[in-house]
Amino acid sequence: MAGILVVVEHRKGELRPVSRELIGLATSLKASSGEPVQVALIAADPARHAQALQLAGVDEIVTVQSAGDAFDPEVYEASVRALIAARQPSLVLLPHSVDTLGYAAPLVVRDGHGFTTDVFKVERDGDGWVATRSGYGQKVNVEMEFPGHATVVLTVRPGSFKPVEAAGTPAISSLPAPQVTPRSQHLAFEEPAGGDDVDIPGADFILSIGRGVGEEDNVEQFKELSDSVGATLGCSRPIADSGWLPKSRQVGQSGKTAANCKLYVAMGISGSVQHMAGMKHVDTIVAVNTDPEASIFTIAKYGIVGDIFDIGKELQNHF
Amino acid sequence: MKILVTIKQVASLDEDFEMRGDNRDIDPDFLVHDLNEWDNFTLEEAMRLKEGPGGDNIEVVVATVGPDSADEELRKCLAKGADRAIRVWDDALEEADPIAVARVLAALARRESADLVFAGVQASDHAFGATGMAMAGLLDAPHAAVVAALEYTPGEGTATVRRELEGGTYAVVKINTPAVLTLQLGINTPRYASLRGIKQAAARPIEVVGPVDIGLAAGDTGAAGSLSRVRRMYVPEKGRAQMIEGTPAEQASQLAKIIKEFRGEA
Amino acid sequence: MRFSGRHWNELLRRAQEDAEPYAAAALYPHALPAHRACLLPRLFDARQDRLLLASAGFLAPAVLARLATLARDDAAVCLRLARNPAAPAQALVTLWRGGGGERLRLLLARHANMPRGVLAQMAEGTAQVEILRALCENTGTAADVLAALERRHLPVLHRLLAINLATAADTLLSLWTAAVDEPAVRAQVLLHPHCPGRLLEDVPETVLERRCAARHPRAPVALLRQLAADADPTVRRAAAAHAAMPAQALLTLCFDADAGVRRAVAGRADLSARMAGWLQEDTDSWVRRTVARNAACPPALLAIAAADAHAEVRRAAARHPACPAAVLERLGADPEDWVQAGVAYRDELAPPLLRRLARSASVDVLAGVARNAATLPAQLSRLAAHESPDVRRAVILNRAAPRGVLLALRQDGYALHRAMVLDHPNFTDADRWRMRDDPDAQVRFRIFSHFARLAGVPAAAHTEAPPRAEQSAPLMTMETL
Repeated sequence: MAGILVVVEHRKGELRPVSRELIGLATSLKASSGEPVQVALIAADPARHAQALQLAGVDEIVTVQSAGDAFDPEVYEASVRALIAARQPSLVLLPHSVDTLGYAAPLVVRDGHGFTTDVFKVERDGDGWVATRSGYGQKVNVEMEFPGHATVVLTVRPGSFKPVEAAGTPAISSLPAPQVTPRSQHLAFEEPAGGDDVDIPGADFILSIGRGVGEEDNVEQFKELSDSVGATLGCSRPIADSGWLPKSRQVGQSGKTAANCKLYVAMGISGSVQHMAGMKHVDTIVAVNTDPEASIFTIAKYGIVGDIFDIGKELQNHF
Repeated sequence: MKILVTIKQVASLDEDFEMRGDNRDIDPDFLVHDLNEWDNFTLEEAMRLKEGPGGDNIEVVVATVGPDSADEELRKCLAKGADRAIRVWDDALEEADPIAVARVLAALARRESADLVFAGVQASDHAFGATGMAMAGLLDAPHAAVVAALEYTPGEGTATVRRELEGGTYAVVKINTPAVLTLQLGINTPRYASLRGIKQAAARPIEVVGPVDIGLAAGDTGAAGSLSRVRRMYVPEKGRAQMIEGTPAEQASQLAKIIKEFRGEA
Repeated sequence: MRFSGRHWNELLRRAQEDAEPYAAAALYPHALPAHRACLLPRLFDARQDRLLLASAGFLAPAVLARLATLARDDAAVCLRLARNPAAPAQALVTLWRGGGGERLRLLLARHANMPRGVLAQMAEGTAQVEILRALCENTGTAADVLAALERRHLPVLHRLLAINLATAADTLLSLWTAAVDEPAVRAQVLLHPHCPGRLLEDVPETVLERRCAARHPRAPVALLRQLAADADPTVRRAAAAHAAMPAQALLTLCFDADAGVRRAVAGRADLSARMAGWLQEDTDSWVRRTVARNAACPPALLAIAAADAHAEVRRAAARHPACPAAVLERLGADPEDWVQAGVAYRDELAPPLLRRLARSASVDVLAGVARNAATLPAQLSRLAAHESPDVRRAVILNRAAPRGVLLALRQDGYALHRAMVLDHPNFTDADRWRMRDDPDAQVRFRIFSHFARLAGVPAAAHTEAPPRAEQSAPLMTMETL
């Protein structure tokens, strides 16, 4: 009975929500593999978070005290190495996060464990683990296997599993902190600079218009619409080229990358490679286009086959 | 001083593609190749250092693991001002996962004695996010991932980086050099190569080597050097958008709901 | 430059050796059979190339039609062709005759270029809901076929039939009658250009229907008056924009409590000077900016708009078609770059004003200057070398940019710019010819297409000319080579 080891993540004193999702995954896998679930916490003050980790299905909380609370890739790598050596888990679950991008690969390449990243499904098959991730820009699913590896390390896509809510009574133990001389130091956290009036990179809701808008006079109604719905107005290149909107409103390869966008409503945009380059990461894309085969519908979450003026006019009536 | 920039030729798909016979990959006829989006930024960062103060002696070397077709991407980098290009290939590398690729690139970095190694955070096709940092592990070099800003004076023993965290906050980190960094989109504004640069690059030589030439044994490459294996590739059921049906008024009403729900959360 | 057989042969050779199939695709439609045969291997031998060409929306119909006949057995290629908006009727009919799966038939049923007759046959030959839906969506489907589809009484088709612009009045009446409990369908009927007149006589029950009735061009005045006084602001707003709304009712709407209604009045093409004056002092900035942009707004009022606290109102004044020179002068010095840009994009600007705008550091203003036909060549040359691709592109979009300025842009690293400069009227064929080895496939496609068209036209002229034994005509066609 090897064990499923979950390494949780915290930042600025808060346990990150993905941690509980991973515990949810671990406890559901426990049902099929029978292995105990160990939750590992690496922190300067482990007691601070330990309580929040006393969740149903968790058999043991193992803490490793680190010198500082802020993330350091070498401290985490050494700590997880020590945890794996001590508990010999068959499966190690890490969140797929900015932090783990910094230490998971170095860890596995040195120690030779099975490894893949950004998985959203994990199953047992015979005596091995099988994990599923996306491929080719999320157009396909890929099942990965790890023949010959006693321990498999996976980074898990946030939002893929239900978090555990119910309380439990795991045992608590600690591991001595490994000796590490880090070659980098966390200096500070910094908030991003405030945006100016038109801030496509900073906007979380963008309504974008394309060539379908036709004429300059028609741009006004979409400006009004974006204003009413609370979106930042963006556009594709031809609109900006015509001078109908400032260049700063252009979204796409030769414009701004909409880095923070969570909701993107694309009106009359076909979804050419150039425009969509900046949009792939957006949570929710709603596309409105008269062509039911427009490429944008393959990356949008919701699609409306329709005329942008009809839709726009009616949408205005709701705000 | 030498900066090694590792790049990848990525593949993308149109709609309606077919699987390869063994169902472990796509039929290659359907793949469209391009330079990894991130690699425009990593190359630009290297060029920025080269063209900046103290950069006179910086040599920018671009390297990739890939078959003949990858030469095209190396030439794009040469066209933008990279000094040298190297490609490593062997048919066995077809089965390499990111870790096995990193083994090859790390061997190359050792051969080149690179002072800085830049890689993209991830590739736009499979987005593993592993190759760059796996290289760091193999080279036992100081490393940082998801670097959105780099302050470095050539010759200095440290650099200051800003890692872009979830939600937009940055972590400011001081790191020893030589180092391996993965760089994030938006770290700079990539240049376009001039037409003259593109034409000149077409005639520049690209060094092509096999893994054996850079000190790797057969047991280190391809499937043997990987830590994972593709069992099956398939098309998931939900590939397209959920279409909102109805008259334009009904569709608009649904869209209004989506927007209001979003704003409710925001 | 005299395009000769020698040139044509070179393009042919280059197309055959090109890394991409597009150059060959550019020549194909204009090549006679012997040379088409040379191009076929490059075009269609490799499956990968067939797949690429099948998706390309910029190809000539002849290429796609030929591909359809060759690739009938390749499901993936057929699907791509069926999705390609440029696929001509001939290609689509070939695909249809070849059978194929459900998805293919659905795509064909939906395609705008599918001939009417075939659509009618498809309608008769199927009971599959998805295909029927696609036929109802297709604007090419004939009215009688739509009527027949309506007679199948399938509720799932109602909405689509009500939306399709080709649907006839009788069919709409049937839909109306069947849609007793579906206000959305009825509302859509009320929007339809063929909506029967008697459906527009009574005040509808639901807000949505009233809103749609208020938009119908044939809505009777009596109805419009009632809708102008509707309790719901969205109905009044739609009514306020109606061309036939009587002036009396507009007076009231001009002072409506809802800003959206007042905005609709402000945008009217027949806005009276008096109303423009009132609305220009509206508390809502959207109303003010709509008035300022409106061509019906007397230019004399624009001075007020130009002094508005809100930048977008000032910009709107700058975009007014008859904005007086004095006001433009003032707006050209506006503290907001976006307002200045509105001035820069105007065709008739006083030279001193244009020169002043050229000194701006704003990309938006400079792009306007770069596009302006009155900007001097020396200034354009500087802008053609600007670090912002948007500004450089604006020079290319300037129809008056002289050849000398454009030549520099041939070297632009951005392939899109090189492709655009090819189309410029001041570019010569010799200039285009010298770009034939461009590294970008799209640029090459455009160049090859240009010369292929050039070769084709004289060929037609050659065959129409009376035969003259001693004339040594320029080698324009394959026969003479």
